[in-house]
Amino acid sequence: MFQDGDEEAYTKLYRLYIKDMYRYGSSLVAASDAFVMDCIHDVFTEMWIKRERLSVPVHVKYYLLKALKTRIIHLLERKERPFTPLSEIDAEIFDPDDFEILEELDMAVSRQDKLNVLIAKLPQRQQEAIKLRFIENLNYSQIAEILQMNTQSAKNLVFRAIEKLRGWIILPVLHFFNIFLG
Amino acid sequence: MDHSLDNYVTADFLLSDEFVGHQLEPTPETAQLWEAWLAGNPPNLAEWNRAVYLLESIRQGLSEYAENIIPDEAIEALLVRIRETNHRQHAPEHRIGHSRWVAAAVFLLLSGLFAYWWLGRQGSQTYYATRVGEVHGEYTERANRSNAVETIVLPDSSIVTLAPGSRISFKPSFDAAAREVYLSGEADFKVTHDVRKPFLVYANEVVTRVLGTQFTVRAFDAEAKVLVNVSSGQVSVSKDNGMVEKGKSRSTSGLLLLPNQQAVFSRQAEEFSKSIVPEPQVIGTARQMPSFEYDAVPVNEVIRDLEEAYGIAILYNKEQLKNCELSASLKTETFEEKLRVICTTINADYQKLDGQVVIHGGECR
Repeated sequence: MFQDGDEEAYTKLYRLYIKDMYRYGSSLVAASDAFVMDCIHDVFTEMWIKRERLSVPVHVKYYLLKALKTRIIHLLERKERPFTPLSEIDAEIFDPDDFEILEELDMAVSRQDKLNVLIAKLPQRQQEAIKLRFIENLNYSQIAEILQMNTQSAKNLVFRAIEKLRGWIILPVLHFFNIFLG
Repeated sequence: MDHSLDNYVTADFLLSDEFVGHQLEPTPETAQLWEAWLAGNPPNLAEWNRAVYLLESIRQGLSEYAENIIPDEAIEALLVRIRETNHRQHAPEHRIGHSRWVAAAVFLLLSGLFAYWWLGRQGSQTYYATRVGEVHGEYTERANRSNAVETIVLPDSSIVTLAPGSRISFKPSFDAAAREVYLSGEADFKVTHDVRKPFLVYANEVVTRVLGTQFTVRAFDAEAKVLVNVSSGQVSVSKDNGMVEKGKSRSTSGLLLLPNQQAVFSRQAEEFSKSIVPEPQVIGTARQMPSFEYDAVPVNEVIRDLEEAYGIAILYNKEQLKNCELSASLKTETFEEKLRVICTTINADYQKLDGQVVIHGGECR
């Protein structure tokens, strides 16, 4: 228990979650690795200071990702936004139309590239939600907490992403081969 | 399990924490629940398969995100920085220079120890020998030095068919928590069902975990790949992270295998890939074995027969093939031959992708 001042347990936590935190943190702000590292530093040192008062979170990873996001947003606000959080750029981007996607897909060679293009075309908030659900394995109520919405809205967000992708992935790949192979 | 699942379509599965959680990090408990549901012949098996496929595709599309990995040096450097800050809190009278030296010394010592352990591990000792060496107490080893396969009955009456040049070790009576078996070489397992005790096979850095099913593991010391191939039931495979805690081997990036699917683990790249087995067999759980005799039957129905009989998802453009019909007897043909006959008839191609089949093209007037 690191709450009792056990440094080894504390280091173990760090090693267990540093990769997830770095990955998620970097996806929240454009540029600056150093900024994300500072925020991770702050989350861990603050946890050490508060260790005696901290109750054991049921889901540690969720706790850490949420704390990291809070820290990042807090610092961005204080620094009068040297970087814009990606989620705010979001609102300005309209849904790209299918034709535009088609053109880009055309350029992508591998299936991997095609999938990357499709996902990059989703609105930022949808991307954040599917990263948290399908890579970080957080559940919908935890995602809702992080995105500050209710659970149903978090599901709706992912549902919209799924519907868009499903059209392109399942019928999809077929569609293309048909165009090329006749 | 919840029967409303039977009405689920693809998207519903992806909106279910139970489904996604199981696909990403299967545990014996979730495996038990889903295996039970799948064994009950759900009417929407094809939707389930599609959901698995869609989830994998989405994860593939997120690979840029998933593979944005922090460099090891940065991990160590940040840890040193964090500790420094903490120590300043701890003992303000300490000079910063001091704790930095201590941290550097500890780091050097640890990296030295790690290198020593790693080099030792890479030496002559095989994975099998290392793993068996860690077993506490008595264990039984069986080696097949003959030229023919050998059948072995395990303490729980599961049956192992051991290939020539292979060996297997296990405790004379399995542990309370899990049924653990160590394998070097190739073996086919027919595992008796016991939901309380998962059955685990450790073979060349790969852990295969099941509750009751039939599958083959091939892991010879001299081979660069490990192959796991499922005949029935559901199996999860993952990389062995070297945790020795009994029955709790941590499954980080597990892969879920259904009948007629196989996983290939590349020992060098430490990566799994999933595909269809070379010769798919009809699976036992198919509700009603189709006759495979067709006289002017819509191709959509023929494809559905194939999907159900072999448990393999087949993706195609339904709308485009709605006028296609097939007249043929496919009773004795293999899965591959059946597919070929269908595709030739409707003038289409097929491709095997991530353990599924995709049919492209095809047209009928």
